[in-house]
Amino acid sequence: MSDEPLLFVDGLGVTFRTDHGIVPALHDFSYTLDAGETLAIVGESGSGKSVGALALMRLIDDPPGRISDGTIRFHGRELLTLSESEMQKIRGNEIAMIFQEPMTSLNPVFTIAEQIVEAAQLHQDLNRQEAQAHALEMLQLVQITEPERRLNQYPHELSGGMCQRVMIAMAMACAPSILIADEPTTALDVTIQAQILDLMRDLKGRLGTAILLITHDLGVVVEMADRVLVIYAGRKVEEAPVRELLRSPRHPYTLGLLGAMPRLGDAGKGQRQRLKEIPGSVPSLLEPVSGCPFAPRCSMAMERCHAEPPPLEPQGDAQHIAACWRSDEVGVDR
Amino acid sequence: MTAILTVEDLAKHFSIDGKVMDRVLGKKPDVVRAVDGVSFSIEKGETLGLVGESGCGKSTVGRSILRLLDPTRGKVELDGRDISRASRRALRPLRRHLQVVFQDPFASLNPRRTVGQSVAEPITNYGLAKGAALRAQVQDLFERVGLRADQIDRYPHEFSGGQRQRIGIARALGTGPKLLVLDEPVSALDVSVQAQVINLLVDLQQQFGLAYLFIAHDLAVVEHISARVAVMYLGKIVEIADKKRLFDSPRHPYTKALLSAVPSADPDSASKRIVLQGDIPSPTNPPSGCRFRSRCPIAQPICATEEPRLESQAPGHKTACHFAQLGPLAAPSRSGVGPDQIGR
Repeated sequence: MSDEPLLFVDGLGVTFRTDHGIVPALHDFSYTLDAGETLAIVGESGSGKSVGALALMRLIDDPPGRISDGTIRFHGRELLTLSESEMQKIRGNEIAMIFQEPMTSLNPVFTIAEQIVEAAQLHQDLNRQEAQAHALEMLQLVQITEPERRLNQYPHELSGGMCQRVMIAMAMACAPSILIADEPTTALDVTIQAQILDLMRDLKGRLGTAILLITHDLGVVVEMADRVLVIYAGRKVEEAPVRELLRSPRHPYTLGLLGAMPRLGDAGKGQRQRLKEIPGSVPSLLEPVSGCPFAPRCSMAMERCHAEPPPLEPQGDAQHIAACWRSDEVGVDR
Repeated sequence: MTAILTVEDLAKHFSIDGKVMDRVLGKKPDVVRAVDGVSFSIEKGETLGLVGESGCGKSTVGRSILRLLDPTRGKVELDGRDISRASRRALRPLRRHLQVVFQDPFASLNPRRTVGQSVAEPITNYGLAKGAALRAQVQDLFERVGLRADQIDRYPHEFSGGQRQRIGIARALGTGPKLLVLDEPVSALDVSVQAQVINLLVDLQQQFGLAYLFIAHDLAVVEHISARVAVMYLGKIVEIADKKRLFDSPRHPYTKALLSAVPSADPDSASKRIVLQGDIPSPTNPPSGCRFRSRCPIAQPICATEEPRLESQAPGHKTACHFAQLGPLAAPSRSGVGPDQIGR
């Protein structure tokens, strides 16, 4: 078991039952996460990136959702067959999560202290006083200004950035080995985002927590992640170490995302270039996909792409995999 | 070149109704100075980017120009005519030339009307076309924004976010405007769709000679689309310059911090990041003197007592900072709050 990664997800499938039929939100989704590592999952809205994280916490509402296939092993232990009470011991304690909307993730009618104390008491054997002291310690850990005063304040009295610090404090209260961060800075302003990213990096360095970072922002990925996984229409289309992926993307969708993104400083480098567009929009998952899900929007698509789904195959570097029939030709003009 | 829009000393204050007891005791209500003396102009066919973080007043500037809000103070001239005090009746013919595209394409279209009806409304409103001519014009607008003419009888729910934003743009173009106020027009869209809409806006600007006031928080998008850029902080413009100057050699410490805070997707960049401490202060009670001083890494005693004026340091480059003349090379650096090396 020593060579098994901290987290091993294999062939995960998640479906949702809707009025219009069964939606396969996640299809044959696999990844691993090592201790202390940061893996970013990048995708657009509706790509299934958040579903992947919720499935890991077993937080998919059933019905309408259902984990239909696959295996999730954490420390070598299968999570999908655990009882609800066993799962509760893992949730928050060993795998914690922070969300995009810090303002709505906190309960508006309880003080900050009450919420952190609740989290700490649920998972650790602390009496009230110890938990109070622990709450203060956690607020100091996340470098909130005037932590003593914050303890007795309500969420509406704090700014978005401070609420996210409180969320991180609650998530870190039990020193989890994995922190799932679902778009943790998307709702924040850029100067506050910089503070929160710094904080997450600092905590990861000090506590050795592995981070599963879910985001649509490739800039955030470069700053935070070791490896990155690109997801499209519920399927993994490419995975590689961050620098490798940005320098030589091997999937047309990844290449498209990179070209579609305006970058700071581009204007200074000469005349304004047109952004590269990806035609069309993200497909509806209700339609069955026969070949590659990206084929209808792909400029390189050939007949085979519409008929046969391409497998994930290694691309030179051992850690780089992509699912494209023409991956050798991707980005040759770059 | 002549200015299509001139804004002078524009201010918009909102008063917050205090608690009942405060009113009984005759306490003055708090005033939020959302916009507090903003001046700029936009040339014909030009794009001015207006950037800043939430609550800096950038959308309030846009709404005050559109007269969706009545300004507290100041002057807004559209094509040489003051519209800041104009009556509703006097405003009506002028508004034809001043249109808006909002951020949320899901909330800005009436779900119970066909998208063709929504696009036709401003045109009929001004009596510019009717009957078959109107329908032909709406179809033409649809094609110009990259939709199909046969889609005009559908309802908003049948369209994706990017398509709805195209419909919003078509609606804004119907009356032949000279200036579009674009309030975060792409921030609700996915990256791949965002690029389509940005390219469309650039194309339409060239076709129709439109001027844009492009309000956004995403600096990379603003840099891409704008000719000049104004940076706002707590209701004031702290720096305004042409794009190249502002992004290459910013002079205001806030602009520098803002630019350095943007995560770079370039794996080879080893940028130095200036991390600002704390949050944006409340606009009900802004710091004395320079509003940025409470978070500024180079603040000096003078910053607390004297408010810096927006002054010209180079042609077309204005900065409101006592130390702006130190130039771009005098990077702010003081122990504890100085630039942090990131480049991992």
